[in-house]
Amino acid sequence: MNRMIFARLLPALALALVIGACSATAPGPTAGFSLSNEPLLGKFVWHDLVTDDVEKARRFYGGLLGWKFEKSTHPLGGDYTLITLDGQYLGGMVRLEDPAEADYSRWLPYLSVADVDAAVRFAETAGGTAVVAPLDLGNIGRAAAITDPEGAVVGLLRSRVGDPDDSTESAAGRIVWNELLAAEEGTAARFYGSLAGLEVSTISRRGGEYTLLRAQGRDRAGVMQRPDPRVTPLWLTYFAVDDVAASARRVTELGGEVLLAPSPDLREGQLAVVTDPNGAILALQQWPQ
Amino acid sequence: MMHEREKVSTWTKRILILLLVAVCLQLGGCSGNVGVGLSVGVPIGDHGYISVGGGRWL
Repeated sequence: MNRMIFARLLPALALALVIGACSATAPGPTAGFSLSNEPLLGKFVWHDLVTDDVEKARRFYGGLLGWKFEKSTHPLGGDYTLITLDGQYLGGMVRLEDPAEADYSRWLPYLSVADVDAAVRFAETAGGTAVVAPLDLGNIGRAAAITDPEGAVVGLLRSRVGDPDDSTESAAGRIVWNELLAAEEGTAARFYGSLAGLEVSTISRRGGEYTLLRAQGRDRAGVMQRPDPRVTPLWLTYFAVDDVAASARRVTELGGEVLLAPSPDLREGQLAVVTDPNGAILALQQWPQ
Repeated sequence: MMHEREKVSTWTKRILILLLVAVCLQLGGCSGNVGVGLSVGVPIGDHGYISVGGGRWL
């Protein structure tokens, strides 16, 4: 009799465990944002903060941009922190210990490509290197990270579940732009054009020519000559803020550093370039512009 | 009587398998639908020079 009761209760328990496992820690592919049916090739579709101190980073970005965080599990195992704003995922944080002689903390944008393996081979042929060789990420897709021929680091992703579409409105706290500070912007732009099928175009701006990388009829990223030859080429991620001057002050209060304070000479006072307390560089963009 | 006992045994096996799957999902988090998280260990370089040339940002 007891055995029969046990046998009847166990299926319910097992079902509850399955549902609990999948609902508590596993947002579905469409949870938090709307995904495209097909990958949006050439779009930056995800951003990770690689940092040596996740807790410090949470305090900084939570205080500066109003983000919330969810502890999660990395597709390959280990801790992973998901960043949310107004219930939508906008990126992740992964911990990586800095060695004594270098700072690894950085924002890493991921570019949607048709074939990660082919893109890495192309990058290597063009003078880049594979920093993380192509690997499968469970049911998400396939990813890699490279340095481009000038040394800027970028992630590559081919999603199996679609990419975040363009339905989310830009707003304070969200990622609004990615810009390559290049050693030679024309050569760098052509490299990314070939890497991810991006259309390269230029516009006149502030007395110079600014390079745009376009896909799906939209501006996906910018390429700019680095402001000083000693700057290591890098992809700079832009975060929207309501008041860039107030946000720059807040950066200092929260333990970050202001590298370029807002000023009339710097994009009409709408931009600040800062680091978080762990040394990752980011741009703050007044929004709306 | 034997028939009933075999039936229970078959059910118990099925349930145990289901439980095993559930526990695996629980431990694994059943996650993997969001995020990438590659550990990229490349020095960021000397970012201090970004503070130079503010007027050159087009």
